[in-house]
Amino acid sequence: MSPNSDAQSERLLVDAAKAGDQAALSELYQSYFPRLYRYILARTGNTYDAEDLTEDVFMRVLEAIERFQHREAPFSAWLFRIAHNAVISQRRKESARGKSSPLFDGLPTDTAGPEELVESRVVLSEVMRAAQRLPDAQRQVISLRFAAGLTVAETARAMGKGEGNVKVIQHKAIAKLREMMGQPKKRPRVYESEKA
Amino acid sequence: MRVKRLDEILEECIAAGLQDGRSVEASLALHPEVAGELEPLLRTALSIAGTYHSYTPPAAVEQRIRTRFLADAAARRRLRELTGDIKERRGWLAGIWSKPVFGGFAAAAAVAVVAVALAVGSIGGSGENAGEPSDPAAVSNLAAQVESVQQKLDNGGLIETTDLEELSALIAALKNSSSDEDLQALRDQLEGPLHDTFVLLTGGSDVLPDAADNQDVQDAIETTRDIAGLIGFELPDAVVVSDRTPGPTPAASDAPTAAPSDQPTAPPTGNPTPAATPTPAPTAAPTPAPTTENRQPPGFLP
Repeated sequence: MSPNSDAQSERLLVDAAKAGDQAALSELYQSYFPRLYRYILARTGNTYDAEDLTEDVFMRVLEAIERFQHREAPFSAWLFRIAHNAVISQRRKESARGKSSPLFDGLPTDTAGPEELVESRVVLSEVMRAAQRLPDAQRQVISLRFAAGLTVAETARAMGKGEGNVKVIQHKAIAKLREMMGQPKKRPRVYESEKA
Repeated sequence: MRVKRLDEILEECIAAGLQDGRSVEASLALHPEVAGELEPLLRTALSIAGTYHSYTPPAAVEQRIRTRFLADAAARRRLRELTGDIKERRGWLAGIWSKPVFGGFAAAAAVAVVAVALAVGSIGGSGENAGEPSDPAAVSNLAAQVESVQQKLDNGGLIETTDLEELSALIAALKNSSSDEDLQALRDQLEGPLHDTFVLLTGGSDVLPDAADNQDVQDAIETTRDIAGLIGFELPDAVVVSDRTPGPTPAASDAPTAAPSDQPTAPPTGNPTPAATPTPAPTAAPTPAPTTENRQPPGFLP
């Protein structure tokens, strides 16, 4: 399915959800739950907050979906903006209470990756630990692009930035993460053998 | 500018890797001029993406949130249907019912909230006219609380029993510092909407068919009574008994643990005490059995 037809079918789905269609809401939930959960996990660093905030964001979506307008932003950008606000709000509350949730609680100790990435596989907690040390904008880009799986265009809309800016932030973030986590094991460089 | 070129190339290769499964080697072959710099960045990026994507959220969490999400959606839909019916009959409530509030109680409470908002304006105005303004701090507090509740409505948020209770407390403070004219203005503004709110909450209409079984609604009834008592307005008696529970059966508020566990959407009130206040339970009073006349005041919901 092309990106355009994907966008069109999501638009219809969102319109049905706005009208209260349970099946459409269920499908949206199915589609966004894992991405939203991973995004919040990447932002907060622990599964307890990820659970609470994911639930909170879905409830906020129900409250606000009637007012959602396609022309203002894609649904994904709108949803992750709500999620971003929820994360920020949670942080404010925690700092006002003088407490913070323990990082990396409840995370698996290892994570299986796709076959082609086996050699450079890294543990989730290692990625998240490094990401927590990034400046906020960089961490947000990494969370949206890689944890939530948004495109650069969607990430830009969710963050209210230009696509060019997002690419620059992404580049810097990846360079820093590489520095912090160490260089992943290299695979043979095919282009060299091709040249030879 | 080389840096910009590299981040554009990097993004193009990341997108191709994630969406089309293009290998790192294929990407490097397409950009041999930056391959040395591109390779470690691209491997890091794809590795991070793969790590995140290989993490599956716990199935139990997914199921629990799904259940609540869909139950909440269904309740909202039901409310919309119910309030849509009322909206047709009550023109002046149109603005309120169209708000995306949730829960029968929320809809009913909204009536009182807007009434109080009107009253705040009235108090400030009449006080100045009389040359004896009400306590500015009390008016300001009340206005702030009303604004907060209104914002909740505007944002589609929940109006909880505690909101009404705060309003009640603020009105009590205002009462102590207001002139007779102010109080009369407050009474005039609140009387009709409070009455209607009460009737809605007590099941005198078909808007809240489950009112007698809902602890939140019962708490709200008590608070509505408190507000009415503060401004010296008498609410009708014995409207709590719904058509489904004829006779002098005590209201559900007698049950200390009436919070229904099968209603995942009911907002926590955070206040377990209102039903336990010394205010007598409406149905416990030796009032005559309700009739159609005293359950539905003239002009309301024929």
